[in-house]
Amino acid sequence: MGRFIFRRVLGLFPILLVVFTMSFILMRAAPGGPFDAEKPVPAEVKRNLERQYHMREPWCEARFLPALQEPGLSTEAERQIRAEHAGASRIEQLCTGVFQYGWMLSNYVRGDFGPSYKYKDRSVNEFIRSGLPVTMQLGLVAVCFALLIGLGAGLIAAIKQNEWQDHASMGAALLGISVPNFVLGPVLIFIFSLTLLWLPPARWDGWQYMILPGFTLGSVYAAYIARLTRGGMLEVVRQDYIRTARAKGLSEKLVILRHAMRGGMLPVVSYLGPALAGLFTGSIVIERIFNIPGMGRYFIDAALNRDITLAMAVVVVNAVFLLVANLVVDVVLGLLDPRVRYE
Amino acid sequence: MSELILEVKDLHVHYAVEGAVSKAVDGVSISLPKGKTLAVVGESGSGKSQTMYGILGLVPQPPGKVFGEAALFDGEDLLRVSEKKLRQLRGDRIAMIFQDPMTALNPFLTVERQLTEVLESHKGISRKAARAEALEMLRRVGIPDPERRIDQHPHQFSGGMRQRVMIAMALLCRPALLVADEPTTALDVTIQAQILELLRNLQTELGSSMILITHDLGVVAGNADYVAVMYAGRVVERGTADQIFEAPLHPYTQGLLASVPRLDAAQKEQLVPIPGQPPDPTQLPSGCPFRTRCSKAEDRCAAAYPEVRRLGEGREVACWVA
Amino acid sequence: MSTDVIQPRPPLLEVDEPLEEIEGTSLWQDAWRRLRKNRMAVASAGILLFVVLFCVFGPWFVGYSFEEQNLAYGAQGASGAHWFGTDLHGRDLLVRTMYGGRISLLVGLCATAVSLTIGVSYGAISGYFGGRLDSMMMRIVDILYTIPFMFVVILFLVLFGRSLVMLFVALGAVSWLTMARIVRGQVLSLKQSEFIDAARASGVGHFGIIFRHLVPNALGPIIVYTTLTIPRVMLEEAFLSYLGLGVQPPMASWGLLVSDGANAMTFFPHMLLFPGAVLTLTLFALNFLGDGLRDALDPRMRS
Repeated sequence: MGRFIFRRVLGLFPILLVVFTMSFILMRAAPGGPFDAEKPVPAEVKRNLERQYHMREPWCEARFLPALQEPGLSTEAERQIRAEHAGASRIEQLCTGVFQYGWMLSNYVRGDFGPSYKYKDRSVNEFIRSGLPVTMQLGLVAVCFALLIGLGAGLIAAIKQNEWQDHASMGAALLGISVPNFVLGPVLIFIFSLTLLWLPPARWDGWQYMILPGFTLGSVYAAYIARLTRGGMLEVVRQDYIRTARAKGLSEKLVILRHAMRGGMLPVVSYLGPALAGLFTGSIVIERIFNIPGMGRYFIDAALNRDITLAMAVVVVNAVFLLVANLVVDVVLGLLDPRVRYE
Repeated sequence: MSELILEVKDLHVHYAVEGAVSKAVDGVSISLPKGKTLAVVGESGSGKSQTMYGILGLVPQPPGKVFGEAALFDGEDLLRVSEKKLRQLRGDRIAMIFQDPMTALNPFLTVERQLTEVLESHKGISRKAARAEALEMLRRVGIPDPERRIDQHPHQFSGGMRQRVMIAMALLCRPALLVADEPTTALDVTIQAQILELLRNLQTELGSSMILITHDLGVVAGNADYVAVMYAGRVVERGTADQIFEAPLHPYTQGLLASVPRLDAAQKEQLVPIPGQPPDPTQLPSGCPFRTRCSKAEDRCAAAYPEVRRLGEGREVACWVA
Repeated sequence: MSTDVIQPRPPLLEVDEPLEEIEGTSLWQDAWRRLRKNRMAVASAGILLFVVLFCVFGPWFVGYSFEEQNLAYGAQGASGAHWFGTDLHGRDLLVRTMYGGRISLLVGLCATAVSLTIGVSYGAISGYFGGRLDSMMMRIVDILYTIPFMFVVILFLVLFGRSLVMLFVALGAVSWLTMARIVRGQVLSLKQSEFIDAARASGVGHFGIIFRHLVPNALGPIIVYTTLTIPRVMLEEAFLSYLGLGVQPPMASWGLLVSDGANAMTFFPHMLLFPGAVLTLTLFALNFLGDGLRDALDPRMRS
């Protein structure tokens, strides 16, 4: 088991590298930079700032497009030079890109995600530091809702198969899958906050604030878990070893809890991996609806504001958590299913 | 009455199947004296396993339905006893061994857990004490190195070993009646003989009675005192093993025996298989269900199900022609 | 004991009555029969048909165009003139729901088609060739599975512009992974069948075997999963539109309508309710139909 974990952990790094590289390429390929949308800045100042962000690499310029190193060049003149020497310009850009990649990678490895493109006096790390715990709490609450409601509904549906409890559970589950969370959220706010005045509609200042967003985020997963639990349990209950357990005279409680659950839970545990991925994605919308200052919110704002460094960092941090979570899920799966362990 | 460990009278097990009724067991009566072995023989689908499930309360109702005159286990009618009482009896006084030990054992639990829970549930002893007894039983059934193997999972055992574990599991509470449902069908031929011998020895040791369900006449010979032959949910012939083998009365029994190669048969004797297929339990032929495949069928065979003719103590046949 | 090695063969068995002809039904006939008996699934199919007709032919019966604005009118609830009411710009919501449906359904179908094509091909090739190619291809799938795709898609759409085609490709590219896994599993188990040996023996090439023999026999799970992918993709499109990254106004999609509706919900709940209900109803029906298909094609899974 230890070796299995070790090998998996080792495998995380290449994947993270792939994610980092993909995001970086997207970032480099995107038109525009951190300074375009604002009031025009003197060319020299702009150049210095670009050098600071490693968007300019003097070594590369000197090597491939020395004309750029002329002091006092205006932005317009630069554009002219690049247009005239298109080929050399492309190589120079590639070279700069490589340097920037190396610089960012070395920073990332040290946990430094660089400065925010939009809020230039704030570092991305600050955002992550404040947003990550919030999103994690939200995710945790959502998972709790999903597991409690999902497992409960699924078990009841399986035990009372084909009776009204089964149909009701599965109908609700189907509804849960079909209603988008950005419809459910506002509706719940309308009912519980604005009409009934039981719960707060927005922000994140205490445990009451976690209920509506947590439930909204978790509802879809509760629905899937309910269906998987029911399916898994029904499948298991048909197995021969359940008949053996009954033939041994064990109480129905033991038959279900000790014999059936182990096998029945497997599809749910397997599902948790992709579910967590969806949870992160869902938090983007939920945090927006409920005005929660979490990473999902920062991400979408960053994407829309073209705050590339922040967006990139969120993607990478997200990937780290996802990979670790998947690893944990696989380990748990191995613990639950002894057949897997000895392969 | 009290020398019979099991006496079943007119047992029925029906299933509701997509609008039709499947009569898996259609009026079965069998009996077994204490300490003896009864072999229930028939093709697959003849209702032999379903009979035992019906007696033990293992038939899910719905979609099944179990009813009958009586199913007396040591005097107590299992058809009229509470669910709780049935559960107490199962695993404790009546134990069952199933056909395929790979699917019949829970792959997620250790052998130790699956053994000790029987003792914990029925005898109320602690897990530690149960473990000691389980180890002893594993040794008895011939599992080598039991202290190590007991903590393993079923898939780490070979087929024959798994069946031994099943046997150990069934015998932990020293049951009065052991039901072995095709205990050797899923095993290699070489292992079959070992397992059957093990069952015989343990049965004698514990003084238990045994019901051996099988489709293989080779298993019956030498292992059973009494035989009940089943076809399409009914018992068509009953008797001692000697009677059945030496003087089979029912054409089906005769057909079965003729289709099995025997060491003492003349070399040129041909095997004669029984033509046709077993009937669909939702659409049984009128009268005697075997008549569609019977070489001796007459008109009266289609008119009504044959009356059961008694030819002596425990010797019965249900046939118009025999 | 005879020293003959070969014994004279006994005569073939005489059979008095011909064996009863057992009429078989094909897998599809069985499945169709089961599906028809499932009333809820049939109802769902009916609902879907109605929705499609509603979206495709509906606008001809409603007088308004989907972009006709009437700013003075503003948002009004349901009325005789406007069955679904109007939105903030005075546009008729009924017509916009219909047009929105066209877009949403189109996106759902096209993105699913993309995902289907990639997924089936990838999975079939991987499963068929097996060995190291298979391990490698599945490793790639595993890696892709763990990458937070939606994030990358969002970045992509933001940075490179939002067109409908981009939407199809992006959404399709995200959902082919599971289809690939399913198809690979089916191919792995079908690979050993005799009819494949027969095909190979008659000289059918690798790709012929894959696409003309193996894939058609794996159609069951493929159909089921496709029917379940469509609502998922539609949901993802709605999600992106809600964030402003999907379909752009004045075009409409259900996601966009719901997004506007959610924002205006406190004062004009009808803007959320009507398109939201239609979207939910469609997704519900699709999911139900998918479940029905799955039950019909695999009787073991039925309750």
